[in-house]
Amino acid sequence: MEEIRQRNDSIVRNAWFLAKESWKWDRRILLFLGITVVTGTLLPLFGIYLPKVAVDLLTRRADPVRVLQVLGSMVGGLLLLQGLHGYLSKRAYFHHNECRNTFFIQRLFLVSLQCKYSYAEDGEFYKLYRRAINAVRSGDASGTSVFFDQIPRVVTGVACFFLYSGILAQLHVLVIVLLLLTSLVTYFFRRRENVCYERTRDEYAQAEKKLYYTIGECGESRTGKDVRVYNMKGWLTGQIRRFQGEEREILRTRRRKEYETHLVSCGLNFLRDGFAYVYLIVQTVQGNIGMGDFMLFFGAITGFSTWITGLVDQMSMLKTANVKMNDLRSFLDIPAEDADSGECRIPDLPEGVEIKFEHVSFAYPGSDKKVISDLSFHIRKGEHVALVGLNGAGKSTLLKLIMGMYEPAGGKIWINGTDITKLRKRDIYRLYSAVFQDTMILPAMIDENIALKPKRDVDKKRVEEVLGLAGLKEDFSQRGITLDSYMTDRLVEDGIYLSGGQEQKFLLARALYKDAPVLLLDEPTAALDPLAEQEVYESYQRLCRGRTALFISHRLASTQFSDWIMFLQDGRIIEQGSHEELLKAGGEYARLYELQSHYYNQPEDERMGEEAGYECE
Amino acid sequence: MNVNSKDITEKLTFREKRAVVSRLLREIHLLAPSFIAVTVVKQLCSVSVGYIGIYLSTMVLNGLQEGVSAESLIRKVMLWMLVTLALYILTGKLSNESEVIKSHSWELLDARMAVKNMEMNYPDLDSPYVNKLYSRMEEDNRWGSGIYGGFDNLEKLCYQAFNALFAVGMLIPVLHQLFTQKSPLTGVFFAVLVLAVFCNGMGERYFGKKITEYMALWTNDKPEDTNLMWYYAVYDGVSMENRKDVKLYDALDLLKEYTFVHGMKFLRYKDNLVAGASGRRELIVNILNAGVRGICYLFLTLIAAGGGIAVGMLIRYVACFERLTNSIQNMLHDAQAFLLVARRQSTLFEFLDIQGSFHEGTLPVEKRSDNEYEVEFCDVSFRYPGREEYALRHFSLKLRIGERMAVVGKNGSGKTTMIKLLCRLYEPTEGVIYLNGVDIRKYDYSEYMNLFSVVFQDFSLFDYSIAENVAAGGKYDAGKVRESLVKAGFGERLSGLQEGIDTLMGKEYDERGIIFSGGERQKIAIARALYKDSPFILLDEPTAALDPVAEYEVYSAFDEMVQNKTAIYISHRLSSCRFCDDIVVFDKGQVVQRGSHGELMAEREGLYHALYMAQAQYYEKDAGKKVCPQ
Repeated sequence: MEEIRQRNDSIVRNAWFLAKESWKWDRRILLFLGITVVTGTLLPLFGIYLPKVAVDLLTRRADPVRVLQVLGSMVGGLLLLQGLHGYLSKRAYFHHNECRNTFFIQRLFLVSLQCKYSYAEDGEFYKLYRRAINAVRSGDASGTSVFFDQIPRVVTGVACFFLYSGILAQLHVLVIVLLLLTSLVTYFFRRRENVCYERTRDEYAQAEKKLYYTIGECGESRTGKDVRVYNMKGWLTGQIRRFQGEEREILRTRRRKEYETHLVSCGLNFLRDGFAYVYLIVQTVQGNIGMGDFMLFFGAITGFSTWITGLVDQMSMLKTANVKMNDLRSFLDIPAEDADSGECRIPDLPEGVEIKFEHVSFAYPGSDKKVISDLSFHIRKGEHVALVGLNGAGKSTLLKLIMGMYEPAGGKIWINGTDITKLRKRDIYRLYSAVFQDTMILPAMIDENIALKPKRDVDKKRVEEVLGLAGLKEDFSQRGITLDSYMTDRLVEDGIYLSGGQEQKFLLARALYKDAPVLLLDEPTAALDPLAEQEVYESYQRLCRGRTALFISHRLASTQFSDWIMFLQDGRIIEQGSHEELLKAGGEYARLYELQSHYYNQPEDERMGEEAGYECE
Repeated sequence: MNVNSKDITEKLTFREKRAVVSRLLREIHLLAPSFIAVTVVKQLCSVSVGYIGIYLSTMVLNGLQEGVSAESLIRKVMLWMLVTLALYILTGKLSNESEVIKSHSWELLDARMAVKNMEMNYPDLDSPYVNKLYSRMEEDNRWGSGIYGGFDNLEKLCYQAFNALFAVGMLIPVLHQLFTQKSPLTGVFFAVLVLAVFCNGMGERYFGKKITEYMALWTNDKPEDTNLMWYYAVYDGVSMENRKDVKLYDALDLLKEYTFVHGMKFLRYKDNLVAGASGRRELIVNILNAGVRGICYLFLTLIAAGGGIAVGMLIRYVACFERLTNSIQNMLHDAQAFLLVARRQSTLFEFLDIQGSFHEGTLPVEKRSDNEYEVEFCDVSFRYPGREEYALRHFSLKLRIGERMAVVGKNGSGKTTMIKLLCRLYEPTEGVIYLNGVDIRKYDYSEYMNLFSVVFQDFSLFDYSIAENVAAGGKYDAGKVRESLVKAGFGERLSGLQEGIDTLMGKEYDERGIIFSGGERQKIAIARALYKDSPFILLDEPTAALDPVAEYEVYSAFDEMVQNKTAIYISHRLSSCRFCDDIVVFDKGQVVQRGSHGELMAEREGLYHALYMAQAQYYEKDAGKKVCPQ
């Protein structure tokens, strides 16, 4: 994954990014948040000025009309500000959550779909994807949410810090210095707490992961069978307790630090408030300040540190969230696959497709091990070729090279005589209909699933036709399935699920709908019973006529349908030729064939001997 | 009780809500007996700290006005501040304590839910009812509630109650004064306060209802209004492997349709409704709160200007009035929240109350050293819950002791179902399964299950060490683990592992962990069955993920693996059945043929013959010429 750059941007840059992006989605977010910064700064001022004004009015023995006028206008302002502040913060909260829930998730998903396929197979890429998704899916703890929530607070906090400093400067500059000092001590302890938190975060996440993995497995119906049959209840409950214990230990350390911070802030508050009282009482008794000012300054002194400690907390939250923001942005940076540029068009398409490998080698990024090495072969137009080999021989990788999803590290791949790297990706993808082991059935309607296009782009007549060709029409009409039936239970409770054999036929119909010149099959029948398997193979056989085709299968049965066979071992072709040739050669293929036919052809079984000449009915 | 036919409880009456609340309190008490006491003391301390602060500053103000000497004022202040310090420290200590109690309770609950999952009848585990309960519980917790919210609600209520009590206590002098003065203004003042509290409550209620109404739109989606963004992007609706298909078939537009278009308008419309209603609620609450403060200042300053109240007392009373009205509002709100979240809490209770009856048998299983156990299916019929068609129909079968039986048949002919019934994961709809002449339901479940080792087709292993997986437990006999692994054909791979049987499976928790291939996992699963060493061994398609060579190894070792045990072996590879003495052919939930390979092949019209030939044709001795599939 060396091409993907992990971002390490500052909080400010990421905040700017977020501002720009959210502006695109919903302008109200920034507008509302902007106004709440202003109201949020003014509101605390009302909090400390109201008592001062009231006390001043009383000590100056103002008349009731004046009291009503002054206090009334202040109260009016307070109503307006507080109402506005509450209203806008709440709305901004919901709107920025929507931005996170939909806009960013959509963008991440789109990037993950449009990037090169070779990324998608990389475990590292998937980790990045999960990290980016987690950065926006964890509710209020999501990176974006913390930014939206905390940055206005930081701005408000800084503004209030200066306002309060301004008020206190009237008293004495030393007061500010003193308060800053106590705040610094609190800051130090808070920092320490946060460091402890950050240090144990991974450990905690690990314990939590193990715990919730185990709890989750207990509720899986697949696991449930083994849990009951092997009586794992006691063991798994023990595991849960163990992981909970690990979690608890970490929490205990954290709480100890928290408690220490609490103790320190108790002491500091005591000193600060004590100082405030003594200093202000003396000042008032000496007549330096009035009683109203006493209230004002007392409120300002006790309130001052809330801004400082608030800033400490907010900055630490932002720091954590910034990591998530960088995860998010690093993923969003991944470019989409360039599907449309390429110098050449594929020549002679109507006549069919031929594929030629010349000394092709390939290794997964970050690995030295060659999965494919020095591979050469030539599949001519309309040929049917079987690809045989043990698990891990490189068969699936070979398919991906042919499909242009991986680029060879060495050698050349030619399609109809043109270098594959010179072709448009879009054109390459158009060449193939493929059925893979990991089938993809989407929660969408039947016809959408066949065409893999939105409803409006589906050619219904054609869907009917291919369903008929694949032999599903009767099954479907028996079960009352129409083209508009939803598949899987994701969207409707009684959504359609297909049996193994039907699913294979369904995928065949999908391939037919695409009507591509080359057919690729990767072990499509592993889970089918013999009769269903035979039926599916026959269907494929029909479909293959006139097309180039490549099969992968463990069941050497498939080799019978092919013109010739490639035997792959450790990324090399070690044998090549027709079934009979390979059997005659007596190499690996013959050995494998022997293994599988062993039981079918045991000589000591006389009855089998009788059956030997049997042909299919 | 059949859980499957049940539907999830959606709406509760007031009486039911009250029952849920009292159940909640009982549960909290059971989970954490000291929680309530700790909460009361903690909130008492923390409320006192606030009121001492109010008392102190206003006392100083009064003193200053009355010309009390600075020295005596300072002495008094210091005394009270020491008290505050002590209370403050205590509050911290108790908060810590209550956090410990809370997280401990959550741990207990989590464990209880996991145990429930493992104890409930297997069919219930995947029933629509339980699945719905699950997604509902997840949703409930997402909105910060569920039973966990109950603890917090209780703390809040307690805090507000003390707050109100303290406020009233401090307001007694001024209340007395106001009521004796009988000024008309006083009446207006109190009327306004009451009105503010009332309006606040009404607004809260009204918008609360609106918001739940809008939120409910989320869960009652029609398919055409459903947005699948989260399903696809967050829950991996298309796996990374599936992206091959997305590219090749150019499915991007279809996926975009379901994630960017479908339901998006609806979603944003709903989001806007909720945002609007929440905003308006906040607007009303804030204006009323600010209003209460403003009215207090205005009224009391006017009274004070008339000479009725000292300056310091003005500030004190304003603060107390404000706190009183706030706490009353909050109490109403929290009490309301208690009832509002009752539905959410009820899902958890509903889940915990699910009864299981499959495992209630008590009979001990006779221990026999000769393994002479006899199992018989007697006219058993079975339908999966919620299905019309029978998976097994009038199914009768007697297992022969100490022999190997192969089960073959088409997909969906009931082979796996038979194993599931035998393991008492499901109960027959009709008919009885007997072990030594006794209905298997009457046996103690864990004793009964000691008789069977099973490798399911979709077996599961855990991301723990190999040894723990093989032993299906934390304590194991290392030698036996190794032996089982070797027997299952994992020996070679094992000797290549640095950590041996302690190797972690999967990389989730540890970089040193190893991701094993499907075939390797299958061998480990077989080793688990061997380790258990039960008289019966049941294998459901044990070689599906193996390549031909590995498959051959497993077959060859099969004799040694099962030794003198009774083995049932399901396979699609008919070649592998030939080493079984006894082959049973399933079709449409019934046994249609039974006999040795030779006998069955003689029945030319039989299903076995057809199944066998479908595969054997490719391996005919003279397979040189292509066979003609029609």
